[in-house]
This record gives sequence, structure tokens and C-alpha cells, in this order.
Amino acid sequence: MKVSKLKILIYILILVGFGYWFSSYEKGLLRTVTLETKGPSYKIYLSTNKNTVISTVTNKVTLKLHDGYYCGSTSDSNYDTATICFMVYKKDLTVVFNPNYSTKHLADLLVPEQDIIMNIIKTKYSNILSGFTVCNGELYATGDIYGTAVVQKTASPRDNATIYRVVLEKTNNTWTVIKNPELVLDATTYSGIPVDVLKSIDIQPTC
Amino acid sequence: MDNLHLSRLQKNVIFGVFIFFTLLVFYAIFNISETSGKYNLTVTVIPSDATITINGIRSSSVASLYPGVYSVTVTRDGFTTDTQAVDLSHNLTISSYLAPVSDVAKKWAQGNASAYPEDFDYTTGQQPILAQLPDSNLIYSISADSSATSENPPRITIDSLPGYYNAPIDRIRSMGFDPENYVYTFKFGNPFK
Repeated sequence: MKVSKLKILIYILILVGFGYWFSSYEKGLLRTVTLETKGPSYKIYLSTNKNTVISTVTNKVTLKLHDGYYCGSTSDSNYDTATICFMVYKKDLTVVFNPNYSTKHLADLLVPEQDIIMNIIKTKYSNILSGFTVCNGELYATGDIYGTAVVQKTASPRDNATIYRVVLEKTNNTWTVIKNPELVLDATTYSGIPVDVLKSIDIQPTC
Repeated sequence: MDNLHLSRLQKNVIFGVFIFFTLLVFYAIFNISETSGKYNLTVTVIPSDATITINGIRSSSVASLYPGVYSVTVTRDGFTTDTQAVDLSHNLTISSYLAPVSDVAKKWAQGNASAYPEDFDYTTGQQPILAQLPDSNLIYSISADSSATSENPPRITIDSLPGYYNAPIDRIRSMGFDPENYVYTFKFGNPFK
């Protein structure tokens, strides 16, 4: 009986030890985190310690990280420099940094594209465009989405001019009008365009 | 054990404590393996005692599920039924507000109006914008088809006098809604079509 109780005690101690080891192991486990950037290089750091850079991602890198909240930031002025954060928790993770271009960079990119885009719009709607003014518009995202306002000419400046919105997309280096100009760009019709971009085009100032 | 000079009671207490911690360890191990690779789907419901089912199986308000698409249905007697398709790829919280249908439920909703979000019309259970339609003046009208309540996004019908075609869109925006979130039927022509 004495031996039996001792055995049970040892057995339980082993179990407790195993449980403690397992929980410690789980907490201390390193996760495989794959970080990839489609644009600029990103510096990776723990959200609580911005000064200690864990790694710099220039293309694709695989890191072993403990569970926690990490952030990546870029200083490339051609891109949106907003910090992007991600949480590592209990499983491996892949994070892809795919930032939009900065407003200034998009404006610079538009300059050589402006005439090309205008010609496409004017050619497509040549039969009615004499009654409308096509505004200069803006590029969005990574410069492959263009949106502008098409404003109906009025007899008097006091008259309300109807404003239509049009979106072009650049694929294989060719600009294409996605849909005919509309009063509002709804997310269902333009399902391939981010809603934030549609909202921006819809409230773009007119010319 | 007797070498430790412990009384029978002390031995039993120690043995019980060990058993307790053993069970605790087993529970911890089970819990870790059970939640590994899963995400929490939290369903916030009004009324709070509504029944939640996920893929037809009754669930609590927080469910630990593997990534995937789930059908979440919230029901309660006297209220509308809400079904949402959820694509779970991270911890997620969804809301389900049931509108009252029966008289008893309507009384409950009136007495608990503050429980519903401000932009939810609990008297109709409609999407917020539909609760504010039709909206019209001498220049334009904005309305929703009767089928709009079951459509997502709802279809909105717009009519307007020439020269004021942008006014109804601006009106929707001024109501606090994003016009991009709806689909439209315009009762006037588009010169570009």
C-alpha cells in the first residue's frame, strides 16, 4: 500500500512537471513569421520598443518571433508611411506589406499619364463629350487606378452642373475605362476597386 | 509516505491537492490543444437571451472555431430572425440585432430602446438607411423597393429634376451614409450609356 501511494505520488509529480514544462514551452515557443514587402523596405520592431529594430524587410524574410504585437514602418517618401502592425499569437504567420503610393508620388506619376488618359476618355465618349468638361483627376493606390469628375457644361454658371465620376484602371500598361461615368461609384459595380478609393473619387473636387 | 511522519488526514489532504493540480494540468493541456489554430467568434445579440446557432448547432456568444465560412443564425420568439455568413480568418465580433414582431416583443423593445444602437431602427429592423426612406422634396425623391430589405446591399431608387441629379446622392451623404454602399436605379437617363 505504501509503495502504491509513493508510485501515485511520483506519477503525479511527473504529470505536474510535464504540464508545467508544456505550458512554459507553449508560452516561449517561437513562431515562424514570413514578412514580405511589395514596395519599400520595412523596419520591424516590437510595438512597445520602436527603437530596437528586430529586422529590416527589403523583399522577403522569415523570422522566428515570440507571441506579441509587432509593427513595421517605412521611411520611403514615395509610399504611404503609415505604420503597419500585426499580432503573432499561437501560430505561424505571413504578413505582406503592400502600401499605396504617397499623394505626392501619385501626383508626380500622373503628369506623364495625363494626356494618355484624357485621350482615352475623349475618344470613348467623343460623341457627347463636347457638352462636358473632364477634370484632371487623380491617381490612386499604386498608380494603377485613376478617377476623375466629368462635369456637364451649363448655360450659366449659376446653373447646377451634373457631375459624373469615371474610373480607369491600368492593366498590362494600358488604361481602360472600367464602366461608363456614373453619378456615384457603388462598391458592387466597382467590386475590383477598394471602397476607400471609390469614396475619394466620389468626393473629388470638380474643375 | 509513513517515513514523513504525516497523519492520515495530512496525507489525504496532500493527495487531494496533488489530484487537484493534476486535473488542472490536464485541463490546461486540453484547453491549449483545443484552442490551437482556432479563432474566437463573438456574437453580440439583442435581445441578449436570443438563441445563437452556428451551422445549425446551438452556440454560446463566444465560439472557438477553425478558420472557414460559417452561417450564424440568431433567433428569439417574437423577433425577426437574423442570419449572417461569416468568413472567419481571425478573431471576430459580429452584431445581430433582432427587431420585434409580436406585440409582447414590441413592448420589450420600447422598454429597452437604449439597448439597441442609435443607428438601428428597432421598430422595423431595417438597415439604417431604409428606416429613413422614402425621402423626397420638390426636386428629388429617394426610395427603396419593398424587396430592398432582403437585398444586401439594398437597392435605392432615385428620381430627380434635371440639373439636380447629384442632389439625392449628396442627401444620402448628409444623412450620414456612404452612397458607395448601395446599388441604384435612376429614373432618369445617363448620357454616357
